[in-house]
Amino acid sequence: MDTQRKKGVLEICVLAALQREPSYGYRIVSDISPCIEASESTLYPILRRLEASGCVSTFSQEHNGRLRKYYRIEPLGEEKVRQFLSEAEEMRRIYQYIEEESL
Amino acid sequence: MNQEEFLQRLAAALAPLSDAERACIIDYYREMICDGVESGKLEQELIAGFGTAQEIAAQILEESRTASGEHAEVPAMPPAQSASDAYAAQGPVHSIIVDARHTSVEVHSVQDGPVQVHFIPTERDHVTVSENSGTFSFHHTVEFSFFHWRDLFYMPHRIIVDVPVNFAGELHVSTCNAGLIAADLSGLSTAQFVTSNAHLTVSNIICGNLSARTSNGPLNLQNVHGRSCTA
Repeated sequence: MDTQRKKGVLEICVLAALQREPSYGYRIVSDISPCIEASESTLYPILRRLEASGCVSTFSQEHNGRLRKYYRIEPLGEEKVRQFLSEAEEMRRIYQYIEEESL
Repeated sequence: MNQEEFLQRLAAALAPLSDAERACIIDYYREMICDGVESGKLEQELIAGFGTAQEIAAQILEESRTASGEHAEVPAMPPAQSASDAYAAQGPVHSIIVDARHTSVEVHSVQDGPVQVHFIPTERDHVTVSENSGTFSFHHTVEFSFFHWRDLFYMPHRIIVDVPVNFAGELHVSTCNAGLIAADLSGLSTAQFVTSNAHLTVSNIICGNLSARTSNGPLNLQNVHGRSCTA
């Protein structure tokens, strides 16, 4: 996928993975892997950016004698997901147009 | 490679970052390795999947550069672009350095405002501006390809330098294969104008030491006053 486009959708995918409940790095990577290619290294800057922009907040919880960092979605993050989904209809029209013109 | 070796290499590659940022990244990867191993993956495989420490560091440093607009390695703050084409100095300036390539430069005097350089770069231009202890530097260079030679001749492409009337420091302007015009400057301690294969016109200048140099082109000096002049 185009790098710029991927960067944009990857953020939303991460936010979506956090919608039901808070999650941690490793699980976020494995949750979104079936739908979009993302490595641990691509994920780090995205999580950082989401935290810096207030879309997610973090907290630490003990797990098997070590501290694990959890990410929780914030209202701003939920709004971003809503906005993305509201663009779905427009995106579909755009894809349809491009497909039809390419035949 | 094992966990400790990988994390050590990563920490070394992340030296330009702050201690706090570096610790965050190390914790992140350490956690990834622990969680991965817990799920049954092999430590070596996990680490191999991250990429090399250099690759990871490069990506993270690039991100922090574009995100904050600040260069991690350079201590000085890059001046802000106030208007769409202006690179303005933020603090007091005593030395102005404008170094360009293949682009004409005009130096004007302005009544007020900061030291500023006006230039609209295209994708082929590379501009670096920095401000360090009172020295404002504007470096410009341009990428060449055979197809774009035409564009150089037809584009109204030039660099304009605004020097405030009360500026009394050093001014160094250089370019090549393009004209250089400087006018109505006074109070400069040192002024140096260099170009090649083009005209150089200096008029109405009062300064301490003036040096003007070009080759294969007319050199015009009009109404220039000062202590010493080399042309």
